[in-house]
Amino acid sequence: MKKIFTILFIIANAVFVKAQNASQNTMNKASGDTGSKVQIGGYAQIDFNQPVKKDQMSNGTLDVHRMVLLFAYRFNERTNFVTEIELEHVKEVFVEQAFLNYEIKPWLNFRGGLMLVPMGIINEYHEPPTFNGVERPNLDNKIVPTTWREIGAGFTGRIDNVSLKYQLYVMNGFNGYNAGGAFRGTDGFRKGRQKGAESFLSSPNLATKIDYYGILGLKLGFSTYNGKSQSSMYNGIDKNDAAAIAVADSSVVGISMVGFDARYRKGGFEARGQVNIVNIKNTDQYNDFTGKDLGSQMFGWYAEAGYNLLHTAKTEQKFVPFVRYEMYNTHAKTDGGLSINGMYDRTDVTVGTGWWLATGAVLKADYQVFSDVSDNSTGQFNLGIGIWF
Amino acid sequence: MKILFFSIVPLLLIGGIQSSAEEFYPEKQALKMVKIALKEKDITLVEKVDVTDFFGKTDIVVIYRIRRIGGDDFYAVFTQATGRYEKFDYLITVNLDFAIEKIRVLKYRSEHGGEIASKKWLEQFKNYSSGELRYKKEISALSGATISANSIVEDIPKVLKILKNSCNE
Repeated sequence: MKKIFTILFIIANAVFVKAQNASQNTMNKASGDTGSKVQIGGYAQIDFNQPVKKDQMSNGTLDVHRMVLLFAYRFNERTNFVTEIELEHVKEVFVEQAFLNYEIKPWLNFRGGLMLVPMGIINEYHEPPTFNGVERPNLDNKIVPTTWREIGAGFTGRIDNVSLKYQLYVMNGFNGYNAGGAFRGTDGFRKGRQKGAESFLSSPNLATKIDYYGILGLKLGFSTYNGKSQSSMYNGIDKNDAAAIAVADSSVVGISMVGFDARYRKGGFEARGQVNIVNIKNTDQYNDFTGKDLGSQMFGWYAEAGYNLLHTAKTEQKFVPFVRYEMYNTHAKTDGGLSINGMYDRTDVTVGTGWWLATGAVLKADYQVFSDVSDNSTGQFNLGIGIWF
Repeated sequence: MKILFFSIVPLLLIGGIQSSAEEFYPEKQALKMVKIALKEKDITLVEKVDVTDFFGKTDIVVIYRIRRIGGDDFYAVFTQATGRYEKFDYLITVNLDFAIEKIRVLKYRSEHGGEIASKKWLEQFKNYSSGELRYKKEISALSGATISANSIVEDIPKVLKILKNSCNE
């Protein structure tokens, strides 16, 4: 993996040298007016969540869940920089993306910086008007820890003849240990996201995705993510100290995640689904070392269908009732002495509707039922406003 | 891995060569693009068609009449539509009955929506000449490219109107 990282670094240098030469051309007039060099956009999600429990009163919550501002700058026909600044819950500030893209050919772009990990649908396409439901699927929270982004570099491109898009990046991995274990049974790697914030690297990871859209109305995606978690314990230990290295090895896990997703639209009908399976190595030692309860396999899927009732009307508005069924188990398997926790084997059903006032503005309402093996199901009523411009 | 390295680096170097021109798809470049994008080998440029009325379309439209050696003439229209954040360039070839032969996206710039360059998706416009053309109705949806797909679907009837009007003047 380190070899790949070194090679990509060398390639990146070659790319930047060429980019510097090409910059003399600035904006190529042969390609016409591309609009402003600076692009501004954004998306926002404002939610009302009201938990519904049988024997217990619960306050509702009102939250500007996310407001993300996009700024992009095009240096020339080949080179652009994209960044998204995220305000989460009003008071937390993050950089969601910050990457430089250099187009060599449409089928070969170099990309480097803080990037979204291409896994499943929602991690890349999470602007509220692009999905049904006030909240994202929980599969894309507990197993795919959206919004999942790390610093890395690699290549992406389109092959128009065969309707394919690919992405291949070497990226920094999860922080699995930094003066304590970060992973846990209930939501796997979620607490280990480094988000490019003074992140540290002990072992780079490889993320890939292929999208195929050669069948009208259908888009299929296949994603992989492989590597090891990161650990602060490697920092400063003697390379010949086998005992110290063995201890540090206990603080990391091997991660192999695979995702398959599909989106289909025909007429007013729309459907989508996603499956993720994650095999995790060394959890026995990791859990012993950190006192955590990380499973050795996580598995989940969801399927969703909806119908635009305004499909035949002469309007850009959409009114889409939908239903989503999802199952996700973060303890599909465990290793060593760790017992499987049935509370982590969860099923959610979401029924609701979205009213798109315009392509980029939606009002949402839905009801969710969350259940696990204990049969203690709870509910939640949600209202949301979503925008994307 | 070494193979990957030695095959990609030359591509990066080749990729750095870029031409510049004063106009939007001038004659020489236009003919070259038709040859490359549509794999038309034996063609010659007959004339540049004067665009007489843009009918409210604000993006540039450049039209050439092109002759296939031993075949029929056709029109090649170079224009732009709007993607998620930036404009993209596309080419429509139209026969003398003003029916679309082929469409190719020549340059897509925005981060989202590049899927509209799919040849399979663009094939849906073949033989379109006039009448209603609506995204998600006559033309299939394309996940991940809603803005760009909507934009090109709305743009194509305007471009054909400009072409017909300019040729009938």
